[in-house]
Amino acid sequence: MPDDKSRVEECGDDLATLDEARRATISRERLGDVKDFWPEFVTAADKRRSIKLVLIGARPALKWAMGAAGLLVLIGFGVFGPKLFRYGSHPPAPERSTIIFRIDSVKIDEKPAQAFVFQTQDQGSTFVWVEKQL
Amino acid sequence: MTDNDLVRECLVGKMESYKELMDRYRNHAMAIAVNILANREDAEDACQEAFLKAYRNLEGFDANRSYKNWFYALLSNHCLDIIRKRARFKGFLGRFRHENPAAVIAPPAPSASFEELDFRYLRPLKPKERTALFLWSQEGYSTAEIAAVLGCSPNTAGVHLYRARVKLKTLLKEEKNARR
Repeated sequence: MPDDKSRVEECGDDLATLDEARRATISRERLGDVKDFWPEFVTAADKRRSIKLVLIGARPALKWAMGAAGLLVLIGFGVFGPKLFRYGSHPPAPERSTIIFRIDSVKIDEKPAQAFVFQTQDQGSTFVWVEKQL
Repeated sequence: MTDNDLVRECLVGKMESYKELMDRYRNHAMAIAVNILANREDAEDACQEAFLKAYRNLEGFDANRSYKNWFYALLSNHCLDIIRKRARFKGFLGRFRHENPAAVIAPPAPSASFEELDFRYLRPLKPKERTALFLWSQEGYSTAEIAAVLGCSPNTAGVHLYRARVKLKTLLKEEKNARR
């Protein structure tokens, strides 16, 4: 039966060493120049702050009006929503179009991306989803 | 000036202090995001969003903790969320294909021929394994510190690291055998 020391060595043979792990992962040095995130951050933070300031600075009457409008929308949705979204109330499906939507190639940031085209069978709608190539 | 001093200044409205924090951590952030997402462009987007998310949540930061670890945890969670969303979409796509055999799905565009970073050892690993491996090898983190970032117990973090090292060793051995 192997002793503890040889078992540890045996197990160690199956594990990547620190040096191997360092070479397999991407270090900060290998990244080279990293994008400056500050300009986009400032734009996004300012946009959010201005929305917040508008809401905070709104007059009480305006706040009440916005609240009441929101409530009315909710009530309206509660009353008419089920009728609007009831299953089975859709008009009969039109005949399937023979026109096929096709995308030959798509790019995001000047790099080839992956495109998916969905065509529903009932409404003749087409959805296009594009994502970065992994 | 320490990270926590800068956080205190940010909380009283000094936005330039946050720029200083971003400058200190943008390279670290990119490195961790690139290792988790195994894609440079996605990592840039993730970092941009994580810096904004961290800024919005600064009030919830516990000054007794390390800012670096807190930010790493936020960033790695954000990256893992991106991966989960991607997986959900892939699942949706699979179901859609199954339920709508008549649907037209465009073939994927050809992949980029040029890739500046080498992800061949990272991609076969699970995201948490990549995170653990990166923190251990590049940042010198212990399993307890990895656990703090991943939000799990040190034992679980140890398992992620162990699996990552086993998988990496297998890949290296396979590569070595293929070269013979």
